[in-house]
Amino acid sequence: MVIQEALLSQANWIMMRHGSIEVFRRLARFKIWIKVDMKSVLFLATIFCFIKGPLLGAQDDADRADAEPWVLSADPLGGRMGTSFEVEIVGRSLEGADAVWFDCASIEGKVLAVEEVSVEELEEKGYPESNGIAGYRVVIEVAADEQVKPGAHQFRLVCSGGVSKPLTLQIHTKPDIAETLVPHHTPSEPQQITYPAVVSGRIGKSGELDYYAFRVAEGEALRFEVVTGSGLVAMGPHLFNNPQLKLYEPTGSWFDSHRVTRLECEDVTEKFYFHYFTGTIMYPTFHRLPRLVHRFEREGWYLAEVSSAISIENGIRHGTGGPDYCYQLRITREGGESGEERCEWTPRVFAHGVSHQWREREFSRELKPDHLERLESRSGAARESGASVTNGSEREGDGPERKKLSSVREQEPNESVTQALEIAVPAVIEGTIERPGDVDYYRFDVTEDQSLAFEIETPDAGPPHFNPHLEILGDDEGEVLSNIFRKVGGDGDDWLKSIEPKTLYTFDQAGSYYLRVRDLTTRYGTPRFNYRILLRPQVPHVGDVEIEEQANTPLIESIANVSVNRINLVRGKARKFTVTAGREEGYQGDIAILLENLPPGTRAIPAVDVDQVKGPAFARLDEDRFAPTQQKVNIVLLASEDAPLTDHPRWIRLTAQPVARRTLGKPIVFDELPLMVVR
Amino acid sequence: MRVADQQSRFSRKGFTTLPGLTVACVVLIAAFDAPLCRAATPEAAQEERPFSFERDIGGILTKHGCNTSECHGGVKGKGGFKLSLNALIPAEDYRWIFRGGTFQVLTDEAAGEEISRINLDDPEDSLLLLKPTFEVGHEGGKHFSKSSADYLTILEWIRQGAPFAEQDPHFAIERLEIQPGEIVLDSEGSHQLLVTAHLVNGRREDVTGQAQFRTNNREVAKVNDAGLVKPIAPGEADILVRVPGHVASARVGVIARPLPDFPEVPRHNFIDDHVFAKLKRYHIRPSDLSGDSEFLRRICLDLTGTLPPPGRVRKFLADNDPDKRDKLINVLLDSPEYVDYWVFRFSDLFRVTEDSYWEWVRESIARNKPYDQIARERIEAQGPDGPSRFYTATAKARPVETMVAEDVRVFMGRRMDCSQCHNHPYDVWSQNQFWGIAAFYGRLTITEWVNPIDKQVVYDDPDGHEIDFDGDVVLNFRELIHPRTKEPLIPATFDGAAIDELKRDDPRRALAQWMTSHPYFAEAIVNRMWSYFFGRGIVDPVDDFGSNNPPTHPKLLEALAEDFRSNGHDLKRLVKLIVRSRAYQLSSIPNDSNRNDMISYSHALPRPLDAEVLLDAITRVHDVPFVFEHNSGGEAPPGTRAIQLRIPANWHSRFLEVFERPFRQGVPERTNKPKLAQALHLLAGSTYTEEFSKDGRIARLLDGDASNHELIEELYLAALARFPTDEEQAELQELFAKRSSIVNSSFFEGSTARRAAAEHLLWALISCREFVHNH
Repeated sequence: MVIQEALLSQANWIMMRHGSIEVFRRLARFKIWIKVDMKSVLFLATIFCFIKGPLLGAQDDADRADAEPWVLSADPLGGRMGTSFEVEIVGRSLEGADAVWFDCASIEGKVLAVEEVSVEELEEKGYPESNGIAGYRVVIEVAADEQVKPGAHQFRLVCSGGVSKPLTLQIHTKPDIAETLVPHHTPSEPQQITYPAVVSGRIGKSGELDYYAFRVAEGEALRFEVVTGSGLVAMGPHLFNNPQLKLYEPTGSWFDSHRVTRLECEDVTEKFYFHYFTGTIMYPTFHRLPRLVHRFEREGWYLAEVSSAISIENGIRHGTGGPDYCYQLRITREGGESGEERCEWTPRVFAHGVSHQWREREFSRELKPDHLERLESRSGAARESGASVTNGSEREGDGPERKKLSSVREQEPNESVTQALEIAVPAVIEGTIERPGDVDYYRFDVTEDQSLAFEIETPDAGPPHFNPHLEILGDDEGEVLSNIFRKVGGDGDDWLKSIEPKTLYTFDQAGSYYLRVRDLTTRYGTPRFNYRILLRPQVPHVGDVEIEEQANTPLIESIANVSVNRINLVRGKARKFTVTAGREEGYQGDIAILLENLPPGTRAIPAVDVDQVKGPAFARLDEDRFAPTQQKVNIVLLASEDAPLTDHPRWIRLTAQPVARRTLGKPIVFDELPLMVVR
Repeated sequence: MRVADQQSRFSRKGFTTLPGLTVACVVLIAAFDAPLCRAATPEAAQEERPFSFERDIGGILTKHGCNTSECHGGVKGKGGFKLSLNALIPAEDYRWIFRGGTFQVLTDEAAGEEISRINLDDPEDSLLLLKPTFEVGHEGGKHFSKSSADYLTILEWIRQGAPFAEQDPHFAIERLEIQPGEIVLDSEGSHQLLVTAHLVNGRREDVTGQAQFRTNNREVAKVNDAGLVKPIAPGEADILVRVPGHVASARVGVIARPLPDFPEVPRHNFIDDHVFAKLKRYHIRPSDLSGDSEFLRRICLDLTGTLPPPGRVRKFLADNDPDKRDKLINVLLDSPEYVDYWVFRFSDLFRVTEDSYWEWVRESIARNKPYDQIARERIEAQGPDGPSRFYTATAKARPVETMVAEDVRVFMGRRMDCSQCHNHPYDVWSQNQFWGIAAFYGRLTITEWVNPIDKQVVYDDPDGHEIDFDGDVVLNFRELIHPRTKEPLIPATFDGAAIDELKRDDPRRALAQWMTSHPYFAEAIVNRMWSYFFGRGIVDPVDDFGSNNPPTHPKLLEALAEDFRSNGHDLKRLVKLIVRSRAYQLSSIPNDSNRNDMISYSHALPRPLDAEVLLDAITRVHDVPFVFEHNSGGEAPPGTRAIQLRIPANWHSRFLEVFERPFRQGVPERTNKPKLAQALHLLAGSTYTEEFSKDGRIARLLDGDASNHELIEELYLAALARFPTDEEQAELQELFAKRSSIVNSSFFEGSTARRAAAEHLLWALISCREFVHNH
């Protein structure tokens, strides 16, 4: 039952026969399966094996991953709701692509064509990562109905090598404009567009500039945004993560009649930070979302310029342009529009959030009014309804008394201890660092040895822009603790500092304390610097649980654990995964890991690692305040030699279950992954 | 009574020195250019100045040069004996004299046995007296005899127990005044300088006899120990005058021959008043106003780093509007090319090596943000982007000492770098002053510096500086420590005043406010901006203001700074003011009178184009876009100019490297001195040879059926912003005609003869001095 619910919450599979109408349908509860014509698939697979025989024939576990679908580009990055449009996907190991999975029933995808792309063509088109391996081009038709929720949607390709990683498609409400084939790379030959609109374009080569001309009325205010598929669609080693957007007025200049003058706009560009796995190495990087708002003083023609900045990260060059450098430029009117219009575009927040997702230590996670209950549900068997931890101690027998989570809104002035707003633990405080240098004070009482957790959420702007610095001060206003975590790193003698969204502390002495909130800097503060702080008793519980796989394919130069987002199991082979579970706030119980809904012929069995000798860890100051202890378990997933091949991905459910006092607690679904058994 | 003749040449008649320990009141009626310059003898002493070690003993040491950088005032002192430069720190001098011991640079502790340099039991046996009288060996030689007043003063002091006798603040010297501040001498003249100390109590004291005099240019003028200045050769020199704790200077101009008359020079603005008044005093006739062509090329390069297009040159030269220069200045100041060029300039100055930092500079220039605001934003920057990236150019925050030295150089025009380790050897900066400023940066912190670096947040941690991890997991905070005294440092300004405790939580904001309101701030930037237009600063080098390097036009510098301050630190206004002056618009063609003048702005000095501007100019003449390649592959958008490259280190260019563009690893120092590699590149470098093979201006002219005459004219206009002279035109026509008889050029294979001739001409034009200079 739980599995079915989880599957429902996920998505609909819509698998359609390659380029055609017919096969057969299967209704599995609320889902519609459209079975593929396996003959076509097998035919293509045979062809592929013939071509790649020597390569695949010698494959083992290590290079199996190399045969998994690997998408290099998708163009365009999205389309308008209520329309059908084609998307061209290029990648490796996409042979036999016959189905597309979308994260909601309002979008359907159909594979129209699959064709091989030669190494020469790949390289000619600028895929430097072809590595001598031919690629595939898959054309899919996407139909988004009128009910689809605008925003970023996930989809996957199903190929004979298995299921692809999730890709992203941006569904929007504005008229689509496609970049023309006519060159429009100089200010004097722009492509004319109207707005509101979403323009799909591509930076085809290094140094290319795309110009779009639009006419505005006097006083018109417009918002311009650019999204790319950086890290979400393109999976080559080169990222289009630093798109540039500039607005110009075609003024001409004394020197050059074609010269344009850059407009001074309100720049509300944002960056997202993420770990990127190139297939070779994994490293932290960013995704820039250029956003400009401008009120045009004069009516007339203006220009928007889209380009890509070249950058070097970890020795890898990004931003040079190429076939996977697709972008969407959105132009909308500023103000007076619907909520969706005003909403900022982001490919990293999905239209359909993932219901099972639990994030323990992130500024962007939601601290809802039921947060205490949610924590308790992860705490173990003893925490059935009504059970709770209060004031840092648990009462045996008649069950503890649960205090209500009070909600407190900041009231200015609260700039000093004398103006501190009094709060009762547990409480959620909502406030804003609305101007540079703004400081907010609150006062609360604790009992002796009371253990509290301080959690911060920054719903509208987070680090590195808004860096909420939380300090607990004693009666003498001396610092008792803060949310700055210091650890040694760099070249081994440097303290590295980071601000943390969650801090734990046990108070030695009863009394009144002050909570002070401000931005780490004294230069920034805006009405967007909203914070939500949860003061609560500590609740021992199961924290983040993640499944990772050691990236040890021949492509990997350095060993790294990477998140798992799909599992393609080769018949007769095994793959090892590591599940890491956080033991938060002194959680002492065990955590059982279950993999459910495995397809026939596959098994999940525990495995042990040989202890590896590790060097001394760098020092971390007061680590117990900022980081949980962790529990790791290795799981080997294997498919027997006679395991039936899966013709569509099967969603397996990964569950962690706290075990306290020999009693199983509530199961916690921490992930759902598509699994396929392939040859 | 001291009398000056009409040439302001003092005779020594009636000169009387004043007793060293007497407070005198000097009434000096001295007006330069006035028929008479006379200094009255002092009024009777009103009040005895109490003895102090600083003034009386320090004064003797200063007067005899014992505490100069060449002697005991050097970094390590001399012969184990250390004195502060110019008696700047009397308490330390007293310590080394009274207690003895050998000075060490890196610690406050004395090395070796501490043996006093004075002998209270037998004062005459004191080393402090035996050395300067050469009774015992002294590398510095004999400075005075046993019968001299200075000897007796020191002897008497020792006899009385060698007290430190701290100076009564009322009698402290507030400033020095030298009369006259400027002297013009012909080859026969001489002049006596008078030095007056203005005391805190409002009185004045003649300290001529207590001062040390030195010339900074021995080839132009000399000065004796009494302050008598004599000429050596035409030119300018400064006479540096030192008394304990103070340095001042007087400027000496030695003229070749007096001008019978000085021309009437039309005035454009107050800059001209100062420049031409000095030229008049120095008997230097300014050059004529530049011609339109010369002006046009100069103003375009100076305001925009861009050569004027031929069409615009023709139009400007044909325009008879008397206001056309002012109108053009306005157009150029509002052009996007102006923004490009000054973003490039300030990106160099602020050492921009990151995109968002570059964007901040661009926005600041495009919006013409007041410069004090720009400076404040840069100095006090916090956060994850923009000017805060100055502090995170490398993975870690820059070392404190680097930031201090750099910011003082950039924003105050002073070089304090040496004072990091010791008191400045040539200037008045002390190590304490350096570390007082350094303390403002002591709380600068950045958050975790894992990749991506641009996620790092710069802020000032109220906890202060953290000690590097040393194996102890306990986090140790500390204030910044003085490297010599090991004492915690408190942010303090140059005068030693500690900032308010309330401001210490945000010390860089306090520093930014102090710096931008300090008089040094405006004078530093106006001087720097001036140098961009005249090839040298009024103080030069532009970031080396100091007692040893006085301004050539102090009043002009003062007036520019005041104008800049009182007009909202408006950079564009300052630029406009400078380029509208007649001084700026003078021709670069010298006359007999000003040929040797390099510092008085009597004519425009040709300035080599900066590497980036030169490359852009060549590209513009070729009219073939230069393609910049990223170091790791990839190209800049076609048409990108060298001055538009945000981060030079990312873009390879052999040309730019040969011509020494800075990579912004240090405070920019463009020497622009010619190098052999540049000459070779000019002969065989790809920029000078390969661009011809591309279709550009020449191809277009040839395809357009331009006549040889038109082709020559167009290339001249494009490269030099002028028409060829009749002579040049005739010679080149002849050359083209000769070339026509040759079927193919061997040098430019595949070219037609006419094309080859045009290419030769173009090569000649972009290689000539007239092209590679802004003149």
